Amino acid sequence: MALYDQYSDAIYRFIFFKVSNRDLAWDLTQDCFMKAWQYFSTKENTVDNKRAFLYTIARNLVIDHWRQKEKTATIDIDLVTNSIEDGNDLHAQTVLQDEIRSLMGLLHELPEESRDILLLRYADELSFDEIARATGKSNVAVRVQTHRALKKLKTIVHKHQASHE
Amino acid sequence: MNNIQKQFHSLKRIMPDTQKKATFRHALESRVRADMRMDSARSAMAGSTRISIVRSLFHAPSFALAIVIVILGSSGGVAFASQGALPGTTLYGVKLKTEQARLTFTRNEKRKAELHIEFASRRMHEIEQLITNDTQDDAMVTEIVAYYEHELSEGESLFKKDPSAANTATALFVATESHKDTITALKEKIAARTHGKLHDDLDEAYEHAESHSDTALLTALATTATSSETTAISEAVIETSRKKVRSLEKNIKEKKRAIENAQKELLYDDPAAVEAVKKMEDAEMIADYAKTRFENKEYRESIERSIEARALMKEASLWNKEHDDREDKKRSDDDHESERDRD
Repeated sequence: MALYDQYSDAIYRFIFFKVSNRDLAWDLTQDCFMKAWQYFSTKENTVDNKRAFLYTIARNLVIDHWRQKEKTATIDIDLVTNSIEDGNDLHAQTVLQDEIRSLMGLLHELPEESRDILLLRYADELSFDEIARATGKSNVAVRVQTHRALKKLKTIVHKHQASHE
Repeated sequence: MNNIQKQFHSLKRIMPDTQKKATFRHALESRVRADMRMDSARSAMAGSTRISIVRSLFHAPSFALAIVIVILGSSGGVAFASQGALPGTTLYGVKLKTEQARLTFTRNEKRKAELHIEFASRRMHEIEQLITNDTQDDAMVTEIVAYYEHELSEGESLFKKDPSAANTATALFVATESHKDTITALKEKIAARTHGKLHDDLDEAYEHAESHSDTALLTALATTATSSETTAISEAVIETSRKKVRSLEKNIKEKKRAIENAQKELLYDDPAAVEAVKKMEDAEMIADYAKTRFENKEYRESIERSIEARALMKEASLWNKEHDDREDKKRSDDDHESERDRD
């Protein structure tokens, strides 16, 4: 249950960015933890990084979902932006929504893999090693891809800033 | 760029609904506890069975039964050793006889129902072990699936007689939900295997588990007395209702496509195919209705409609399976004929 308490929000977010549907994201999050329990209950000692393992399960669940729907993942920026919890401070909430909208708009211009890596690294603060395990890539490949994704993101930011001037 | 990184952090404000999180936490915790109970029951069985058999046998009234006591008592060591025995081993027969003896000498119907549920879990564990050990004896798996269904049916029939059966019904529900997950995992494990008998056996076992799980849940709901029991069962109802709606959405689409393809092959001539398509369309309609009931929080109605849709889908799929079997046989006969012609 410690795993659930610690990572359910992050896993939900990871899935939500991919499916853009709150209910579906929550369903898949539940499936993720159920599958993880089934695995851990028989083979706990063979998983040394449970956090990365959870992301692997979550990623596979999303892939299965889209495969079944014969679609590919897209982000609904408005839905994501409007999903932050309601607070009492309307101004702070509006500022936050603007920040998120702006970021999601930039991320939308990146390929899905690059987007995933940046979200895992900078939103969920996974280590390169954990991202490598979750995505099935090598540590080196993840580092290279993160560097390239950041560079591409900077280019997109400059392009947007130039077009506003 | 620092601003971007700050924006990444702000994404952490996106979180799931607090109530849903808490509800699922409770369901997950219950599930973990139930599975751990079953695991410790399995390992404790080895130690306690001998004692419980002998204890229950001491209440046997007749001389004939006294003989049985002596025989089983003296072979208690064998009974003890047989608990982990798998089908196909020498001790497996002793294991089944020991279980039968426990049932015979248990007077209480509720306790008997619980024993049947325990034995059903053992059969599921045996199926799991056989497949994990890569058995080539499909007939044995088929036989154990039949025993599994027998135990579930017996357990269900006993608790149905008891008006205050909520605990037993809940135990059956928890057990069968766990079995379904085990079967799903086994199916993934053997997905690469080409021969279909094991797949059919697991599909059948899944159907048995699902069917008894549905009955158990509805019985538990109907017989629940206290509000705390109601809350726990309500969470299970909501979760089950959601899972059924999702499972139907997925399966109906796949199976409908398979039936329509089969119908095309027959050039739309077969009236049985037309009937199967109609049943699938009805199933789809009822599944939509189940989904609407779920969204309106009418969970019990949603589960009942989901059960109805699944039954129709199963009937329609039966036609498709028979069609596939006929096509396979035809292809096999054609192959034999070609070989004979070549010779």
